[in-house]
Amino acid sequence: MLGYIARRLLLTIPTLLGVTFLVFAVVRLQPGDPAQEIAGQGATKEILESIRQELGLDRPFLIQYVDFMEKLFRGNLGRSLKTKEPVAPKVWNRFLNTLELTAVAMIIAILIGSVAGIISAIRPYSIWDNLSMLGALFGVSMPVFWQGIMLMLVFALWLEQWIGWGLPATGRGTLLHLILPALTLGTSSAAIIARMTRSTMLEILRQEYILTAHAKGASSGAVIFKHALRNALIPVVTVVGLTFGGLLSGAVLTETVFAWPGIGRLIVEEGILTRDYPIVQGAILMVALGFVLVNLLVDLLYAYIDPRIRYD
Amino acid sequence: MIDKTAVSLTEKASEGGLAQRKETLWRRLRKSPSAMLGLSIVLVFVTAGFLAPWIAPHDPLRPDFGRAREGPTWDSPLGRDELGRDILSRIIYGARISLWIGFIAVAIGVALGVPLGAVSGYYGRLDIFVQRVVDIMLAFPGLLLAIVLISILGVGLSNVMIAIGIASIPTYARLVRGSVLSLREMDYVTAARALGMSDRRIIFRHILPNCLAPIIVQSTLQVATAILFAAGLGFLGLGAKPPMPEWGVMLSTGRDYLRDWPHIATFPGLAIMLSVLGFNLLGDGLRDILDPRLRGKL
Repeated sequence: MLGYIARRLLLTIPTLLGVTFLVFAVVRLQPGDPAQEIAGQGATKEILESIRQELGLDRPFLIQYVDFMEKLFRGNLGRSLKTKEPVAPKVWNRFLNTLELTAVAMIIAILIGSVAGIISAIRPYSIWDNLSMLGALFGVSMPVFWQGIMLMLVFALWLEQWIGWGLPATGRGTLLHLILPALTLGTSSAAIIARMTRSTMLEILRQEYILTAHAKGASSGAVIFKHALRNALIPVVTVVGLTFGGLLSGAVLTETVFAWPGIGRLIVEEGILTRDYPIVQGAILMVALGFVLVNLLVDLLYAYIDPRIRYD
Repeated sequence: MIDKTAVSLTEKASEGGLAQRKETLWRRLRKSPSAMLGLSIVLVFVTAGFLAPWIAPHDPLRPDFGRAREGPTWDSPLGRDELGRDILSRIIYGARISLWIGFIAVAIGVALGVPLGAVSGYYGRLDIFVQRVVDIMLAFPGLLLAIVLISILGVGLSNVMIAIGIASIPTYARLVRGSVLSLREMDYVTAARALGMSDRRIIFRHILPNCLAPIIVQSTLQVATAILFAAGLGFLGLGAKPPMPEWGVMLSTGRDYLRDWPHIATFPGLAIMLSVLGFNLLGDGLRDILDPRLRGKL
């Protein structure tokens, strides 16, 4: 196991270096003069010069990268071009908000997805199976931002009109604020988890050790939950890891719909659309690092649950 | 010296197999109701996109302020938007934009990802390097990679196509690499090599045609992803710009009128969902037929 962990950790290092390099290059790869690009057409020479100095654009490329990495290790992501505030604390706070949203969405996805998948697998081709797989198909195909808007319409706006009380539709605060965005964000992951649980459970229920369990007189509940589900969880863990990326992608859109103060909105609204590149760099770096770490954890967890992996 | 007859015989055999496979593919596709439903939905959108100027009942860009935000009527079955433009006509023209983005993005992904994966799988020495590059790209989850690329390329519709296409390269590279790794050990590849064929010929004539099945399946599903991503980027303000009848942009402006005129945001969203559903159903059906081992999996 230790050897596996070491190998997996070593493989992460080049990825992380590459990620930092790509993020670093985002500003430098701009066609034309990045300073001009950031400041806009009417900028004076002094402004352009100050931007170049701020970003270190007046020095050689590799020196800039080394400098960037050195600052990064000290937790310094530079300052916002617009507000002049340090980027790191802002990025960190917004990232925590996004994590809160994705964690709740993930819990919802695992609960709905595994229950639907198990029910489908126990009674394949029944009405429940067909219904939940149809639901899963719609769940995968529905644009997350549209679903968010529709949920907002029904459970916030219309509910308020009908009974005088609706779920909060925007912002972050109480637990109630989490319900609509987390449900929106979790749906497509729930759909993927449901399909995966179903197919794995179906495969496992055909195994001989399940037949043995039945033959020795175990109740069907015990067979499903003790013998089948525990083995079915192995691939589901991987899918949970994979859908985490989908959740982070979806978070950008969900946050925009529900005005959730997360990192996705930071990247788009305060970063790209206002050309505040230190913010874009810092926030994207944070998301990528988080994603790489989660994948690492999932891989290690996977190897822990399924010994066949680490001896491969 | 290369034995020309043997070479052409081997190649004829693999081409014959391909034609035969196409025929059985269609026969089996017809037996799957969900795949046929998917294909029908896709065909409806493709036809709508192609024939947009002839079948759209109104000009998608002409405002009619007197009829702004009007609900569905006989004249405008899906109602009018905030400027009084006909929503149905805008959705029909939007099909053009979304499908175009989907196909171009997939073409970019295939054109760059497939050779990359093939080379990576065939030549062990390049593999480590290519796989690290793929790892780096995969460190940015889905839409985020497209957003990173847009922040480099700049906001706009054509950049959206390029960004989504590049973002799908790692998927193709991994997929093809996996197939090539197992195919290069096959006896017929060894035979081709023994006959003195060049690596390029072996890769393009003997290995890649046999990777076609997973590539077709992935591409069908990838069109769905590309449509979703493009609409998402339009919604965020990073893709198409108003007044272009792009579904994501329409949804984004419709959001401001949600409380009193929900039809403005509802129908573009339904169009996105239906088209994505169509490609997903078709892709799932193709996978069941072409690669039964993956049935029911992701």
